[in-house]
Amino acid sequence: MKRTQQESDQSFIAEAMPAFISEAREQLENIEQLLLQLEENPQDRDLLDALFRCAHTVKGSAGIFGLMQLVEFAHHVETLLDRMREGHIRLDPSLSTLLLQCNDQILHLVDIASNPSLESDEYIAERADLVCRLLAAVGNSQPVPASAGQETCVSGAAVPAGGRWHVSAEFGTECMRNGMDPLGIVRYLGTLGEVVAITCDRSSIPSLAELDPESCHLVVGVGLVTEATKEEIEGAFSFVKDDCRLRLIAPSASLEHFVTLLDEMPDHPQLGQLLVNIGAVTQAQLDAGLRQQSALRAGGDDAPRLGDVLQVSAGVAPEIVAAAVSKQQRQREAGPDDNRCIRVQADRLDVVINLLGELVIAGAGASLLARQTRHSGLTEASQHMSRLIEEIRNGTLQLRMVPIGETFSRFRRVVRDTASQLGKDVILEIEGADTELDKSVVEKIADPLMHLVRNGLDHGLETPEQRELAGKPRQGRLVLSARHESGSILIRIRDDGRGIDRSRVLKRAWERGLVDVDVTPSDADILKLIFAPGFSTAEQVTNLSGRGVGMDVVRKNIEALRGTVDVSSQLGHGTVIDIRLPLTLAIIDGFLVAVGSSKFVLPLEAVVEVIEGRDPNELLTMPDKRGGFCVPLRGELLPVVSLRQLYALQGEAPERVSIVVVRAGDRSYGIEVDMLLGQHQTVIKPLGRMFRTLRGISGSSILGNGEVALIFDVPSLGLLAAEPPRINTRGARETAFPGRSIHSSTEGQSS
Amino acid sequence: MNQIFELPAELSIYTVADTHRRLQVWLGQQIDSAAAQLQLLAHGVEEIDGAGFQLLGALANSVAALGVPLRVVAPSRTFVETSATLGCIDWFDVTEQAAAREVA
Repeated sequence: MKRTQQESDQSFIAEAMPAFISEAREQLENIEQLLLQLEENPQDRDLLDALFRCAHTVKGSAGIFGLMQLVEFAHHVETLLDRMREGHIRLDPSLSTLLLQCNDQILHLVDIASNPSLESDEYIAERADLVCRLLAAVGNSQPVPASAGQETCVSGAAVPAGGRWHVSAEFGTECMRNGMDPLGIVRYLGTLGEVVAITCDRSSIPSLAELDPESCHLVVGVGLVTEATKEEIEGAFSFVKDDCRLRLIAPSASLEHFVTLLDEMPDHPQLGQLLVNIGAVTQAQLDAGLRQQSALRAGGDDAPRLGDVLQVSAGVAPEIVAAAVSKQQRQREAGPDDNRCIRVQADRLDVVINLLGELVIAGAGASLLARQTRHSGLTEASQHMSRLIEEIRNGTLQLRMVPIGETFSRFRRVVRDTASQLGKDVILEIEGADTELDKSVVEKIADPLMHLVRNGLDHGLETPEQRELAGKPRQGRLVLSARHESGSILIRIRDDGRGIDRSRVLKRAWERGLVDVDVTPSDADILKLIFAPGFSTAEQVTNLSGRGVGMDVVRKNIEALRGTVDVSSQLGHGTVIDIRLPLTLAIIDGFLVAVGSSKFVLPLEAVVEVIEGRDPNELLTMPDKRGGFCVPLRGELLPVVSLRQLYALQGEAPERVSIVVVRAGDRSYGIEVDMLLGQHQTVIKPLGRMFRTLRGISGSSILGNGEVALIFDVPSLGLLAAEPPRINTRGARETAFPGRSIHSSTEGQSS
Repeated sequence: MNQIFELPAELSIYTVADTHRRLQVWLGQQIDSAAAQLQLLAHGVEEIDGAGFQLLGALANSVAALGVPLRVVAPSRTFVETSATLGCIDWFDVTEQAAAREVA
């Protein structure tokens, strides 16, 4: 049976709705960031324009899907933004708060598009309240006194009547559907005076295949000689004022007005058309200029640039030509970027990366078999294939790398709202926003980061009065930074607040029984207690943090990502929390080593150097007081951990051993191993449930021959090695997992 | 081979969707037949508005991308006056005579 048009439309909407929701959320995130940036730079016209475009896009897309509730609400927001663009309203903190709340409301309306049950009376009431506040903000708006750099010819003071006006109208997409005809408006303009020039920009119209013929894309420029006032000219557009970008240049307009208008005009690849669109030249002058340029070129002369020709032939001011050339240049630079990105569903990428992992393992197996055959041609082919697999691996993993800045930016709103709720004045600074890491890590780190940021705001940073009393600036600083460090990413949350009071932490730990009353741990260990389950030092539990249920969860979540969290603090000066995370959760370059019959992988980026073929007796002659061992290395003592002892590995020690020197954070240590097996592409598999509590190990990997190798977590192995053994006798040292020796298994595979 | 598309009497917001579909089909046929020049017969245009000119502008853009000339043939007085009013007369090469008589 043939489907009806309505069924077909509904089917299209159902199919396209997820894409709309995803894109609308992105736009709303952008709006939030732009609002927060605009709050800091209220004079920035580009930010305001970008904000308007985002809001307009959300509204327009919602209209396509028939989400009229959203369209109507967004329309009020858009009206306010438009008034801001016209210079009638300036952004202040209360207006910014209103717009942020409106943004939340639009996000809610997007959510209910996919799940109508999320709508509630509370939201409806809030929406009505927001609309009233938006209307009040728009209704109360008075023209802002013009100041340098802000004045536009449209919103300025009264303009004297008489002379030639330039009218530029960029009609909105809904204009024709709403029954308005740009042609009719132009005709009406003609009744106000004499239309001495008119252009309609064809380049603003899409191609036939891309055109929705009922959407309006017309951009019209009119030279109008009239005695009418500015208000009368604007009156011609009164029926489309909500769906049209109108720019007027008065007869007495200065050069700056043309330059400002040029900046505001839609992009156009051709310089001449740009100048026609702003009314700097007429179409006839442009045509004459082009003819002149063409004639000079045909005459064998070096063809002058069109801008130069028009300066002479049409008397265009050099400043206007320079501004047009600059706009064209910016457009050329920005243009190709739009085409450099394609949207790919994350799960499709995950499938590719999982298959890639299998390919790496299969490739290693094939390579091993090729070596065993001792057939040179086969070995060479296999090596070539391995190199290609490695390149594919690097390229594919790069696809999933995203800058962390986007996640950091979300905290601007959190900091703004939370600080204001707590009566604090806090500035958030972001450093290293371009630092990239795996998308899956970024997604999983957002919640722990959120908790740490809120915790810093709630407990770390003081109120302005408290800070003043402590001799600090009234405004507190919270710095979120990220950078790469030895194959990991270091995320640091730093504040200049009151710092952590160790005596209070210790007192609370004694009260909670987390530490024996007569025991006073080291300063660093006291600080670690804040991550203990159920710990809270907040005198008053707030609704933000301080319930003591979060910090241990934060630590667990970070450790689940094979990361570590460290805290350092100076009383009265602030706190620093360092989170170290692996760059990727999928495949790494590893360094394969063996101890007895067990194989281990060290992340290659953590390996500094290796010391090969040492007599174990030479190495172990210098036991330190912790029961560890040290070797002299370039005039310094390097602590060494013996895997054989740490994990109670079976098998005889060989005559000669090697030491792999690794770096964890700002310190190095050595790992004693029996054999160095070389570089290895390591596909990370999760540990079997039984081994998840194993310290110093972050995952497992399957080797080419089917054997399982365990992957070291270098920082936590370092910490483990640094701990004093419970029995300080070599050979009887307690292992990392008492009562068991290592017998590895991966998820779903027992060995 | 030259092909002519005859514009309808009414080319307004009420009819552009239909004309758009017909123009797409016609243009597709011209591309397939590697037409050397395309012509729009506009003698019968009695009513045209902004939406109508926008549609013709989109056609002109597509044809320009193909590098094929587009000519408006025998335009009606309404067509000429209206295109001048909206400032889009220079979008097309306008002539009184059609180059071929095959009309789509």
